[in-house]
Amino acid sequence: MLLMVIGFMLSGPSAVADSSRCTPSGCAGQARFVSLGEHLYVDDKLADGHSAVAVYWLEGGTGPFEVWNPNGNGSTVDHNLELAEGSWIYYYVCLGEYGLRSILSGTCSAGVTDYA
Amino acid sequence: MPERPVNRRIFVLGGLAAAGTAALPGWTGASTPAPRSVTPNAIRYPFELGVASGDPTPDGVVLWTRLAPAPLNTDGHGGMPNADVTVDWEVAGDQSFASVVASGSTVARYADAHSVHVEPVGLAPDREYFYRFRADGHISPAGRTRTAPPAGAMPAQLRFAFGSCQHWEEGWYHAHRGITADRPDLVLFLGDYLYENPSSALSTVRGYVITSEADTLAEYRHRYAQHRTDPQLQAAHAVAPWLVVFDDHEVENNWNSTNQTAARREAAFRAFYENMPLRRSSLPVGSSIPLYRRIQWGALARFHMLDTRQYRNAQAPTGSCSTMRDPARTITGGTQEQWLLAALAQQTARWDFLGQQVFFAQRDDDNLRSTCLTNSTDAWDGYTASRDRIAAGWVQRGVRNPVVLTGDVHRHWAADLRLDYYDHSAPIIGSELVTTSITSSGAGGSSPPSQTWMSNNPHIRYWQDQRGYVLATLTPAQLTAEFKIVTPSVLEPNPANVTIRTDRRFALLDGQRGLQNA
Repeated sequence: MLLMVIGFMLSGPSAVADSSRCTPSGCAGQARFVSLGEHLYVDDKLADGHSAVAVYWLEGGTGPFEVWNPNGNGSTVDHNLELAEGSWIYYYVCLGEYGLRSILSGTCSAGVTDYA
Repeated sequence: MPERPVNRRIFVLGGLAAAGTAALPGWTGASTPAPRSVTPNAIRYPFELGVASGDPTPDGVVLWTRLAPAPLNTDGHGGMPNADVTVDWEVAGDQSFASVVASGSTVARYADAHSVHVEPVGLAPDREYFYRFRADGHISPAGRTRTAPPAGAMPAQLRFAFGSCQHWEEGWYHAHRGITADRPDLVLFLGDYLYENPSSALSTVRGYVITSEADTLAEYRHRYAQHRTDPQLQAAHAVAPWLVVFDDHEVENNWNSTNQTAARREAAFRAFYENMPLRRSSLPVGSSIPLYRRIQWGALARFHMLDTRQYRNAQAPTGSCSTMRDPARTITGGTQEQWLLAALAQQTARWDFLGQQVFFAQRDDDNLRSTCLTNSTDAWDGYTASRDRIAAGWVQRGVRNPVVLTGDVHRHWAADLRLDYYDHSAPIIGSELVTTSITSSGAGGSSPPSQTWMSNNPHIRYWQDQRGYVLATLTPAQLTAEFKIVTPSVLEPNPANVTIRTDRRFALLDGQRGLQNA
């Protein structure tokens, strides 16, 4: 049976990212932000037993929020945000253990600010 | 692990802070906060940290902003390029900026984290004004400010709010929403604007980007910037001029004159100055900052804004009577003490407020002179000779209405002051109003002092462990203090589910001593 889960795709979207970040040492996890429609994509790019997780803050004094991709190598989670035009998002990507919602220390990328 | 905030924006900018979104005269063609058009190869909308004003005089006020289009970038420069930027400013008598009364340009320097401190002069006394900035074609939100009454004039009323201790992670800034709604003439912030501590894993509603302890210039700058992304804090800054002092956490918990490196002080003081509406007279010099100062409000009030951190001796060991009572010890330093006492001898205002950090009144567990079982040796209890010199000083000088305003302790307290607290029949010589925290200690709910403790400290009149602030209404005849609390708690994110109400009201009458229920 094919389960259709909103926000989960087996392959990456065609939209071009306006910014992206990779986890250190080989980009096992990647986060990409596309301003058009305000999508934050989280890619798992390595069969390493870990999940990819994007961590982000928003204008308005809120965060961190976490977007997990527990679906394995080659998968992408599309986190569709609703942001005011011109507002900012600050994010980075890490590896983690989805079951415990635990981010692995030393696996996080540098952060980046992008705009809706 | 606690639930993280819901992924939706529940806050909106306060009315004043959003004023820049309207179509305003002058500066036409520039972008306003929404929509935020971006010119290619130019700076993005840089006023993400809002605007502020402070330290009013009869003819001026300091105006502040800091350019940061990407406020959470961890280098502390907020996404600004390594270049200095010209910033225009203007002050108007009306919110639509139809009557601009002062304007000019200044330079936001990369070396100063693109902070701007403008000190317009020549404004009319006792007047409401509005101000805004422009940089690279972008216009800031508008702020409301006001000048002080002229020297010698007796205004009919002054409304001021005071707050302290706004731990970013431990609650939502509903108290700032309340301050904004009150539209006071002044806001006093009595310290712990931020906390240098590492991020806490428990009881948090939101989190730092940099989770380690802040101890470098970049980290302090970043932490200020993260605080200033809060729309309620921005709105409270935009609604009135602030008088700010720091306490300990702007540097490190319980710091004193002996236990910090010069490098850390320099970094902390510099970041504090860069992010506060302080005058150039408060500009740090290396590892020191001239922070204590006086703000006169006509013939009605003086605010002696004290610095009880930078010059204090090290805290006494708990229970060490000999150290706590050592007459050579000081919490203010000798120079500041003499500065204060000299001013108190020149009574130019009906009410004298000591705006400062830590608990002034005695809090003693057993009321025995032999034990010194105080709540905190970090407070004035740990420096009793210093307290005695100042309290006796205002008594000897015949100060008409001395009132101490305090933060630090994350609780509302109200207390009468005595020269000898062990003698419960000793005359009352003044009063102290202690504001609870804006957010620090979160939901609260601790046990109140016991009946025994209260009977040992009968000068203590009130205690409340909820978050909030104090709103004071001052007239020549009376000070009314409303102790505001946020219910059910600052852990609730949605303002629609939060009530800000007066929990207790006290009055002080001109020329009389002692708190009155009101």
